[in-house]
Amino acid sequence: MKYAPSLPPDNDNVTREHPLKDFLLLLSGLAALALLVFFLLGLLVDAVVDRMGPETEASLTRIIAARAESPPSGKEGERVARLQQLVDSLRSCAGFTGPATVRLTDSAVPNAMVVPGGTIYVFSGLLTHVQSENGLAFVLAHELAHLAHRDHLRALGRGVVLYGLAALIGSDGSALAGVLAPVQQLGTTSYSRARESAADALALQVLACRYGHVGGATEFFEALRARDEDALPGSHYFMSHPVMGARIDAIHVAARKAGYTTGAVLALTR
Amino acid sequence: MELYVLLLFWGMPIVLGFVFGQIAEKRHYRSIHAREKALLHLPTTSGKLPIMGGAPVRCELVTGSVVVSVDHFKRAAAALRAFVGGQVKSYESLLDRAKREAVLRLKESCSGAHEIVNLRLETVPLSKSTQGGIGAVEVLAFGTAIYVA
Repeated sequence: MKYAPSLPPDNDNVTREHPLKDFLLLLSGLAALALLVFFLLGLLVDAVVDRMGPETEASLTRIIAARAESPPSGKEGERVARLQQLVDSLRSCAGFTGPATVRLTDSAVPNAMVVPGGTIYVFSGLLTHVQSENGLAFVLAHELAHLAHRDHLRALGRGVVLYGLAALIGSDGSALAGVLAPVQQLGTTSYSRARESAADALALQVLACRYGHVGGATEFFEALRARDEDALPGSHYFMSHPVMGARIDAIHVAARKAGYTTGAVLALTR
Repeated sequence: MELYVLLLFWGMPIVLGFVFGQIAEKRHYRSIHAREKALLHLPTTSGKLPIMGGAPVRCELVTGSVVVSVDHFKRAAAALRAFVGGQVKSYESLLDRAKREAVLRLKESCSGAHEIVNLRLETVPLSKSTQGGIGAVEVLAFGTAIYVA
């Protein structure tokens, strides 16, 4: 047979599919799966945290708690003592019996946060952003609500789940964990926003229980709203806290539903 | 906000990889098709014996090699594929291009030859062990060029 040079009519060794088809199909499928698994494991964490007895919580807290700094003295000490008094007056309304220690942190950021072990860190910037004792009480009640809801344990449990999943995926290709990273973030932040809204709702009840009305509840959020408005459009999907406008509206709606009234607010001693 | 940044850092390499990878691939295939046609007169076989006849006056070892890099898009697609298994379609065109380019370079190195026998292809992955490093592949084609009087 005589050799006749020619080229094959087409190449069967390379797929004729559009390269994006395979990629998008896999990405959406795996992203949906990752969200579902994370969501289900999150429900499991919630179930465990809800069923956890106080002894278990106390022993868990002993493992993870940050040691509170010793109380400051002088003028700073007086401010902390006033904040502590305010928190203590809210405890029975929040139905929280565990430890809640206030510490003041020097920072211009208007914020407050709780760490495991019941330490509430108040950033000094917060005190300049509220006008009344009621406004401050709402923010502190919000932090107490996080403690009462055991949100730190939920966050911890989710963190463990997330690291576990990432390690599991990472063992046979850390590239996948990277490709799916935005999905994780989306799942975590939407959950976090839900917890913040739950804490707002309880804080409103606490405020009504402590003062008999809910005046000043939205004070802090109103002060932050101006800053919030120049954020990127759509960025609220990716934020761990709800947008201020939405939080204020939610508080108004909840207050109306519960029949809370607003009254005169008390002056704040800074 | 953090997610915007994350999305940017996550999506940018993949989008860039897709755009530039596709442009490079299309251009490369155009070049491959044209050169394969031009070099069709030089038969290349994997057998030991010449097929074209004629009295050989000279034989020599000829080689052609090429290194092609994966782009971030292909890598991301392969990473997703690795999780569920199946054909890694995004790498098919990459290896196809590398093999054909290596053979073309081999042929171009001895355009006066009558034919090439004993063609072999070797594939070597580069930067396989580098963590997070982007993979590349070297394909080496070697064979015996036969010159006739």
